[in-house]
Amino acid sequence: MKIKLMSLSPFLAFLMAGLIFSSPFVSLAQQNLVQAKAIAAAERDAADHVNKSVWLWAGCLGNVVVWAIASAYEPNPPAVALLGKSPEYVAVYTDAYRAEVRKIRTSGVKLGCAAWAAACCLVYGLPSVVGLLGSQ
Amino acid sequence: MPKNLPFAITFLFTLLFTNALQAVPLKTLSLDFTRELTENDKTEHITGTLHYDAKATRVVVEVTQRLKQIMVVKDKVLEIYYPVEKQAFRFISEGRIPLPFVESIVQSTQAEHGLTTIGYTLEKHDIVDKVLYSYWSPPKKAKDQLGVIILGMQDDRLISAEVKNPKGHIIARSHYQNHSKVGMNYVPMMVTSSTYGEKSEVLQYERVVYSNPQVNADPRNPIFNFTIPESIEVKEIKW
Repeated sequence: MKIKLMSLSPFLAFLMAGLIFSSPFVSLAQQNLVQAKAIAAAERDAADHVNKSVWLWAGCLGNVVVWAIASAYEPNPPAVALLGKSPEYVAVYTDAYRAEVRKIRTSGVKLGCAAWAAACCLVYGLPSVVGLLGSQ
Repeated sequence: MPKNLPFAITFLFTLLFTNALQAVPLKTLSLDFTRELTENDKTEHITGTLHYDAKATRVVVEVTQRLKQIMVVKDKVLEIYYPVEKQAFRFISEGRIPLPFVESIVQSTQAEHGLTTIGYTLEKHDIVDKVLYSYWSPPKKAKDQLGVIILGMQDDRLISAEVKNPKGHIIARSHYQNHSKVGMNYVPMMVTSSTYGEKSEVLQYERVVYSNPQVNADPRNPIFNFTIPESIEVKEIKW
């Protein structure tokens, strides 16, 4: 019996070492999972809550001023999304939500600005080009 | 003197007393709740107690399972405290903070379900199969963000609510069941809600079951005056 236990001891030592050293990796993996879930939920909620077309039109009409507002104005994450969630989740979700809302808004405004600039070029630039071509 | 007169008087007084009790204005309301949220085929369970202070318009949500969390909502401030982790957050918003699953209960105690308070106006109404449907338009300022809300009422009880986006697509639908008379109002003890995506697919399904309603409890539960302990460092975020 004693011999059998002795022969098992290296295996048991390896097992113990494995268990001890694997626990930080398990908690790290769990933390990463919480972060990934929070970021995914924040991005989905932000896409649901922000009306991109409104910011696109605002970009068309207000240009740089609206761009500044879209970048500076802090959006409100929905309180219910934080109910029953861990502090890590709340922190990650809040940051991800604000970043995503800003991204959607500014991309809408950029597109609006570009559309406005293209329209201006067409309205003011095209007649001059046509005039130039006509005079030649 | 008729033999039944004392009984009749007692009976009459009992009826009057019961009515008087029911007519007492709501000061505080506490309810235990269980919330099931199904999303991407995964269901999450949360249990706790909801406390509503009508005078202070303050809501305290005490989550007891899966984790310990205390959420306090008052006007533009949302505070979240974790008694085990000893961590706290304070969110200060520019506008009023809504807490949807709590609001269904709180709104059932308010006139027009709190819609006029947040700027909604009654557009029209309709009666189908003894259910009164009222159509509420959002405030002009928020017409780009909010859509029409349709409420279904039967026997003074709110039985359904439908929320549309500005384009007219249904984004959320709720059903209210098992009403219980709390003070002067019928409060739904079971609320099921679905939220929908652009292709009308169900994004989330929520089922909240309330129990053990306590109206104007005396002595007052100390949780109504809960504040984050001064020794805790609060992470403050301005929205």
